Amino acid sequence: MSNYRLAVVLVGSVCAAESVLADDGQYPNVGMDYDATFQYDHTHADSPQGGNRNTGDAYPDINTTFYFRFTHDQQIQLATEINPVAGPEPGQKRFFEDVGLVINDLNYYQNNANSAFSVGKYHVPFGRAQDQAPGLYTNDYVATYDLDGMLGGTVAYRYFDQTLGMIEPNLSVYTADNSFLGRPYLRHGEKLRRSDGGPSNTGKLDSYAVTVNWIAIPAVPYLEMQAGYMFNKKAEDETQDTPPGEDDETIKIASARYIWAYAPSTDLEPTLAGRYFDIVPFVEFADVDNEGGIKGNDTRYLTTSLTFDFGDWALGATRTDKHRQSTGGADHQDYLNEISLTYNITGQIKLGLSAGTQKEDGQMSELIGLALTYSGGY
Amino acid sequence: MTRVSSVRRFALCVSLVAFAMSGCTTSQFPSPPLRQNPEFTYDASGVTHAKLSAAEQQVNVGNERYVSLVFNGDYDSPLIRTRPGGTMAIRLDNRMDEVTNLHFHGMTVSPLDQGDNIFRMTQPHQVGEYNVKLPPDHSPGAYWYHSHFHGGSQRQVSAGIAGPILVDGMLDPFPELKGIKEQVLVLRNFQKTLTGKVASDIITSAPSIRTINGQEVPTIDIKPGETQLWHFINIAANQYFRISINGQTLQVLSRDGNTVTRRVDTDQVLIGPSARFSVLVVGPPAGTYEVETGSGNTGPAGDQYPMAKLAILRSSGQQVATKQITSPYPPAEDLSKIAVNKTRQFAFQDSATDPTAFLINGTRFELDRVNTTVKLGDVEEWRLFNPSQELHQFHIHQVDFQVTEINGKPVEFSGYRDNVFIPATGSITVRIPFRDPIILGKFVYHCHILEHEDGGMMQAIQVVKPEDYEQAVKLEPLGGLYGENNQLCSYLRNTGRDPKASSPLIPRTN
Repeated sequence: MSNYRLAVVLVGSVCAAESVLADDGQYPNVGMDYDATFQYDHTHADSPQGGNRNTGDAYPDINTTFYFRFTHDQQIQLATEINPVAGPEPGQKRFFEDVGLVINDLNYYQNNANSAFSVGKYHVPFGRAQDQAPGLYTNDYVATYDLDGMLGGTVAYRYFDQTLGMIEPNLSVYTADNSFLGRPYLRHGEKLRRSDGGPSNTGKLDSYAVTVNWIAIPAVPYLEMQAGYMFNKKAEDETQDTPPGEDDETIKIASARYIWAYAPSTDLEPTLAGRYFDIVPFVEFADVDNEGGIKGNDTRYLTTSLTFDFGDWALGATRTDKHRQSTGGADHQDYLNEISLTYNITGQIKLGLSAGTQKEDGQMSELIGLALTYSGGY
Repeated sequence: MTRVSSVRRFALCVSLVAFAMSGCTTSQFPSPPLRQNPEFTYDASGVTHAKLSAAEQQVNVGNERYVSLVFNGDYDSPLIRTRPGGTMAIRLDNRMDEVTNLHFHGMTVSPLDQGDNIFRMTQPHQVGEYNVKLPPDHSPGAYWYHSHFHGGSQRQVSAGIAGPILVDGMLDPFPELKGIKEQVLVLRNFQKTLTGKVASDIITSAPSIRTINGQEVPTIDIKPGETQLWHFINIAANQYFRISINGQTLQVLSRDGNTVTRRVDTDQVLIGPSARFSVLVVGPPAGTYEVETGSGNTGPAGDQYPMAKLAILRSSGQQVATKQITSPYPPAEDLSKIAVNKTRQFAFQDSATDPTAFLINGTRFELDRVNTTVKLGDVEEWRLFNPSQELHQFHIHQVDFQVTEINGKPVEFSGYRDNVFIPATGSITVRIPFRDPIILGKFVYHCHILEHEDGGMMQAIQVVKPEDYEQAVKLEPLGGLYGENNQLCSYLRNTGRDPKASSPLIPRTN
């Protein structure tokens, strides 16, 4: 069976199951969540790139998750994303071009009373800047440790103590996806091959990540902390003279987030009336050795952000510094600054605006973006 | 793409956006008079016999037709009327293709056996019998019944598997109010769909039809100066109602079936999911007044829904004398002034990794495990804190409690309740008297935003006699002293008591 046919069968079987919908307590059943975003990004480079300083990209980003539930706590989930397979070339103007479908998750997931695990293709839970820092672009900037679509498994255990709060260790073991699930569909594109190299692309479950989340501490309940360590095994390359293991990528990470709410605004009436107000500082530090599996390419990321939530509005400011210490040359200091504004038009439709400046590999540029998102389920 | 198909697609997109935003629109239908709920009431011996047939069928939801899950063929579920010392003998005829059960929300009754036992299920096309005896001193007021089937309660309650209960006698302490008109106003919202069927995935922020007694914007008649008692009963699965009547002052007489201990006036009633407010309304000068619910926003990580007109209050006719409370309010013990036997802390938190999972102290609900054991007779203080950026709504079965602090600040005592909001990134402190022997058994506490309850934000508690405490704690991982199905026979087996001994759990007699 071709990959296309398999995809059609998978999606079709989910859509055709009319008699068992959502979680009505009868198993097995199916469900679906989705969000559809229209996004426009405009980038102005300070020096010409490809003959044009301005790049524009209008595109959809449609995330859909299908659930096939065996019980209330056990399910197979399939998450797909429709968006451009690759970013625009400098100076390019695009409108809904190069759009393809990728499979981000296809795994068995079980969530028990105090533990959870998943096996299959999944997102490695490591780092928080990609989710917690406000703005449209920071998640791409920290993609080094935001690993999506890896093959393997992850297990978490939740421990709660009346004094310490909740401590949640998590262990993930994985390898990069070289299977047919790793290629884009509906658009020409290649899957990742073993020969492409890179961290965790070994075909073996020899990369891993460990995190510990510490949250809900009764004495400081609105403080959230995470520490973690990630090891991404570099595939051995006989054409290189680097001894095995010396170019493996390792990442140490630590983050803290605090939610400070203006207490009078948290009473029931002001909250319901849309006057809830809080300020959320967030900081995350990541120390990366051999980034990208390149020996000596040591980098440090520092993401700091501040979010102001007020009713339907959220105003955010984020800065991510990326410091690269080269073994033979001068240090490089890159950064991304973002100011963002989000407005919930309704509970299902939100509008996001983001503007920022970026320095990457010595190239300065300004960014502005708009995203309109509709979220729903079935 | 051809021009025709592109126009069609554009039209479809416009339709979808219009549909998504249609929650802001108001009904164009004429405003019908408020209808009274169909009712089961008690006989001379105090027994209310009720048959509730749960089935999937087409019904009127406001002014629209939907296929939904309802009781007795109507989206407006029957009112069950009872009295202190009475009995509700209920036959649940499950004609649905899914499991269900019943919970008698807010009632201080036995959780065991055929009582308010949410650990019992009624399988598809089976019948469940309930025999719920109210103690003679049961607090009169507004209560409700609903599906408490873990994993499916949000959808079933949202569809219609819920209805009101009234325990007579609320006005007895106030003879000066004798004869005033009572109105039961059942509040709910029904998610709009394009399929004409109840939504398979409940999305609290989605456009919905807000109804009173199953009607969209009914007319409630009153005379100028007339005093009426309105029982607002929020039986929506997830939504809060923020009700006001054109700036009219409302006098709260009862919260969650507990008469207040002092005068409480308000111009806006905040009714959380599962809450009941009984208020005195005085007819304003002749004219029409809008009864509306304000928009809802439950926090940055929560839900948003628009305001809606719920009803029209029509004041007409001759001015009549206003009846006011002159009798003293019935007293209640202020638990903030006593020493508690134990304090506990509970974190009600959203999962950081799974948007469908909700936790209490890091734990998702498991049916065959008890999380908390309490000695009968104890008064406990529970600090409930919420590290999430959205509201949660605490509710505990079988007992009422007193809210003593919100965000660490003392709350003036005005009576008990059985549910309360937990502020987003805030805390609530409550004191719970586990004193009444009728509550001996196993029951639950949980968030009454049912999306969160189904997602696991619920824990089981067993109340035991002090002499059974150690054995009960040992059995927590195995479902507790009362067994998985919460039965007296399991208790007898687990404690080695003589099954022939009379009243081993000190049941009350009427």
